[in-house]
Amino acid sequence: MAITLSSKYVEAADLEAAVELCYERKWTDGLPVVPPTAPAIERILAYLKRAPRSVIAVVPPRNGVATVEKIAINCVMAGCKPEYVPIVIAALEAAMEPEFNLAGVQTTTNPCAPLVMVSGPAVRKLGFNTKDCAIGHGSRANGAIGRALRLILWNIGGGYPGEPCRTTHGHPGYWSYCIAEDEETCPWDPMQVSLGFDRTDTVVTVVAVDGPHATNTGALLNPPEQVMTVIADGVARLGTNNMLGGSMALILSPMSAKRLAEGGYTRESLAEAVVARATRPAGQLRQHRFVDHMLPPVRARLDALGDNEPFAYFDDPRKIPILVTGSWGAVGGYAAICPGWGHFGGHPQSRRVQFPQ
Amino acid sequence: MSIKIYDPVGEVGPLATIAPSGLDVLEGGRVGYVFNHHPAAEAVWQSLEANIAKSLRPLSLVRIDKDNVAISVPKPELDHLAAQADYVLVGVGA
Repeated sequence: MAITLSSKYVEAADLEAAVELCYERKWTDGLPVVPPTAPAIERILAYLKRAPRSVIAVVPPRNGVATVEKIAINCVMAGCKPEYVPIVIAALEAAMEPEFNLAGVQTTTNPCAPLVMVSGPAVRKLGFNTKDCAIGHGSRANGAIGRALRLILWNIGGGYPGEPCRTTHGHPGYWSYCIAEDEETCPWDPMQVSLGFDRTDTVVTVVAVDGPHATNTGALLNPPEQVMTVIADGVARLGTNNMLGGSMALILSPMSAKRLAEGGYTRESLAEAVVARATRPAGQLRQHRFVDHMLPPVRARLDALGDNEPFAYFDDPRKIPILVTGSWGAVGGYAAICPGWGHFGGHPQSRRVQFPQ
Repeated sequence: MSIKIYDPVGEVGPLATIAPSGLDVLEGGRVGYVFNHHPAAEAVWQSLEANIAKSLRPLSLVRIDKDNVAISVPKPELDHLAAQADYVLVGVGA
């Protein structure tokens, strides 16, 4: 099938000039990009077998139209293999759900960026890193898929820092923020099953969160309840939007997950335990004027408590996605706590990835 | 040989457009308020409302008070408000 690209093109003298041209045109978020040439774009479109002009989303705040072709161009720039692109599309579709409030995520002063969580058979097939440095550098699949979503939010959605993206600090995950579950070491049913999908499905969950706060759970020596106590303490910090409720992400190392499972925790009961145990004395919170941002019913719940009574940060365990990934570690065990944006949005949304037949 | 690189920027989607119209007189009109109740803007908004009440003496007043600063008001609610007002003041604290 012949593919005709409808996007405009510009010419550059050579590869170096092409990269520089992308900078000049503000087509990149600051890191170099792979120049999107016709053969590379067409390879993706041929793999997808979808009409290049079909519209996947209208991306806020610029309301740019994300056609399959425009997505393919951005995926080339991010370094995606064609088989990564269905995951990018699923992530974008998930981020377009009203509860995610992408317009807000793109513009808020809070440092929340879409975290792409992948689970299912494609994790191994596409070579995601789920071992050492699973949230960090070192893997093409993690890096390119996260970056592709960012470039779409940048080029199509217009999420440029300053105007209209007003995030005070942002964080390195704004460039690329994609992780995958390590089914091999996960002590529970894989994440996609816990979300109600089939084990054979590859599922993407997006949630808008801060950078990961490394948390030493001491899981090698600590009993499960102490591991839980450490996690709950990390969640219930003053100064994150967790205090407003909403959503967050919890990333467990295999050691931390194993220890919690030994204590009888399931993925679901662990999220419930975070809701129940991530608390702070109500009096401490009332001294922090950020509580003025609470939704009225949450503020009423806080104000009904005595100073020493515990105030629970969250009220909905379904908004706390939990994923197991990373290497075994040493004594630390580790968990990564990713605070969310509060009640404002960025809440977890999941999509089954549709690979072409 | 030159390299052709393709534009990654999407076209801007169609936006609802409303023909601009002007108001000759603000006094005695039907006023609408949409306010997001951002804590940083509460004081100035209260002052604004008080001054409008004093100086423009609205005929009627309709309002939408948001409890979540980051979530848009559903369009049907905005349409309903707009139908009952000659002009609407929108307060977005951030």
